Amino acid sequence: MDSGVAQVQQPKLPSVGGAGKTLLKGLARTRVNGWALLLLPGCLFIVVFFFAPLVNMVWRSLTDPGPSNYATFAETGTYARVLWVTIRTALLVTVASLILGYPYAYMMIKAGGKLRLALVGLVLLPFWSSILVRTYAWTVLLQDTGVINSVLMKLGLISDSLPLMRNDLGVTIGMTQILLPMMVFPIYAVMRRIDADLLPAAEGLGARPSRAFVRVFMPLSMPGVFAGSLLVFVVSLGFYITPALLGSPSNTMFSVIVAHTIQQQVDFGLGSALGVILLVVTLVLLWIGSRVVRLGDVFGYSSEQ
Amino acid sequence: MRVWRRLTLGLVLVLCVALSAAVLAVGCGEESKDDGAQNGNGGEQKKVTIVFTAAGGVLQEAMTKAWIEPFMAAHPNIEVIQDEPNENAKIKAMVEAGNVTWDVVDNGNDFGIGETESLCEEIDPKVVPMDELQPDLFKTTGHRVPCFVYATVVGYRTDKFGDQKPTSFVDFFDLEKFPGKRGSLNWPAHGLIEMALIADGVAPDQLYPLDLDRAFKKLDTIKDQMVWWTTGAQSEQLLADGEVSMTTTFNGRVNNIKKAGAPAEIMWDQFFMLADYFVIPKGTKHLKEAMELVAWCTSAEHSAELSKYIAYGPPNVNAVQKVGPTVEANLPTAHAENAVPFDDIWWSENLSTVYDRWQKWIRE
Repeated sequence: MDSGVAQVQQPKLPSVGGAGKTLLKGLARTRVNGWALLLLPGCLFIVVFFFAPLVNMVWRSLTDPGPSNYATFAETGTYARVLWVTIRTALLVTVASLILGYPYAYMMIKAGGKLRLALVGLVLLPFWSSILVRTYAWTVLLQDTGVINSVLMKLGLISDSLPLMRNDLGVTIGMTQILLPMMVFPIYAVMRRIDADLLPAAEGLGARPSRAFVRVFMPLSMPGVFAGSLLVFVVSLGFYITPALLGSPSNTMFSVIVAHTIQQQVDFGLGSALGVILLVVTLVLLWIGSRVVRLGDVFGYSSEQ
Repeated sequence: MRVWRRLTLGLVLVLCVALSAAVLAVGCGEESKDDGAQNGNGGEQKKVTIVFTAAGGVLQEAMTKAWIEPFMAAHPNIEVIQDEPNENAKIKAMVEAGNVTWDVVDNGNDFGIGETESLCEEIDPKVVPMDELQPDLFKTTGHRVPCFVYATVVGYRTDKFGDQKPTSFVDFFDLEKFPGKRGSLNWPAHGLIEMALIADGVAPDQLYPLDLDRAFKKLDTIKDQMVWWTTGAQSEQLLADGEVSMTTTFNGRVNNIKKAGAPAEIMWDQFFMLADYFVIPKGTKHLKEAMELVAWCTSAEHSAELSKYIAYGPPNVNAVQKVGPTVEANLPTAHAENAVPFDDIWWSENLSTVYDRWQKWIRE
């Protein structure tokens, strides 16, 4: 992580496809020694449990019963609509995580040793409990007869319960809580490497503190913002149970449709096609993202050594 | 030295490719179909192990006590081991791969008919008492057998309607007489469409083929009061917390919250009687033993045993009277005269069409 982050500082952004080319060149140049054998278990794992099933899935989507699976997707408006809802949900969660995560990461920078440790703990603590438990806990808080609504009603602040869940709001709250660490830590890692003397220097040259922050600190922290946003966005696309429990049917995510198709309709061909479509859409979105941010920084590898 | 290094890298790559090919061959191929050698002779001495699979949880525990343990005691040469959870997709994958590891599976009402019929062995009516299993109520095309009876019911809060109580599907749709939100499973083949038609005046025995236009028009009248649930546990919670005043759910779920002290009741005056079904995945290596287990659990003698441990009824018509009177009131089979038939077979043929329309309607 650290070596990747160090390079975030370098201002140049890769051109389209640059990362891939560099990677290939790097491979050609790399001299491999006996340690390469250590790669074997990892390679085997990926081949057996990821690559082979993936090829099988693509094959199946085209042959069971035929490419008509993709026509079904195109003809049935529902799938496209669910796909759009999925992308919209991911965007909402990304924005919400950013709004909460950026100031939080900044606070971690400013805080001293013990407070910083507490802040790290606070954002990580929920990460260690089951997603299902947390989602049900949100239900207890947010539902019509839940803690928040009943307290507000007892205080006489509202007469009818507020719709806090079974809508976009509930889904965004639940997913944001789960994904917040993935936003906070990339931003924090980048902020930590911004030279602390830059802000006083800007102020020394006459900038007001707010201006120094906006013109100097924020631009330097942008690689972290992009990295965190891309990470949260991509992970959101695959969410399943949280939107199902905290949302309404109009919040149904694409993965739910895939599961229904495989499990209840037992239509492996169509299910595979839907899986392939979600994968392709994710890759396209990642590619678009890669024009703004280096993927190596997001996923913790670096193409340049 | 350098050559050796190159070799190592090459070796890694070659191994990866070879393994990938091997995995694909096994994964897609049909060729591994019949590796199970017949060890025909000496069968009497040898203990046969078969695998029984159900949904897990309290239900499977009840099945173990009611059926599996007594069956093993009576058949010392058959050992039954268990797996969970039952998944339609897994059965299909097993049958396609020619590697069937489940011998008897307790499945929901959407498997072993229509397109999935071919994934299941034909049930032998000479071994299994098919005609005692109420074939007019629990339809089968010979590849599945009803194993226990449950109900999709309307559960309601007894504290929300004064001294009124709902007695028909019409009341579920009457928001003035019975105010409050309504819950239902977000899945078309659950009964809500049938309920809408009955509430709109269709006779229960004239439901199929479902008039979808009419049903969705009726459903529109309560749509903004609907709360959709995804899991049975969620429906329990909605009713227990009073988030809804009425919800469709399964009879066992209402019993659970009643036991926990919530003011809830089952509307037994009109409900759907459904069954879970045993299937034997096609290509099992223990067809004979599997059939014996199915026959044991559905026989007049043992069909009612399950009701001792969980509030589900026996499908065998000759077993109904064997249920003790104390548990009877909770069983769907005790209210059979009020049951509305639910046509699994129609659903198996029309699910994808209705699913599509349902998805559209529910997010409009």
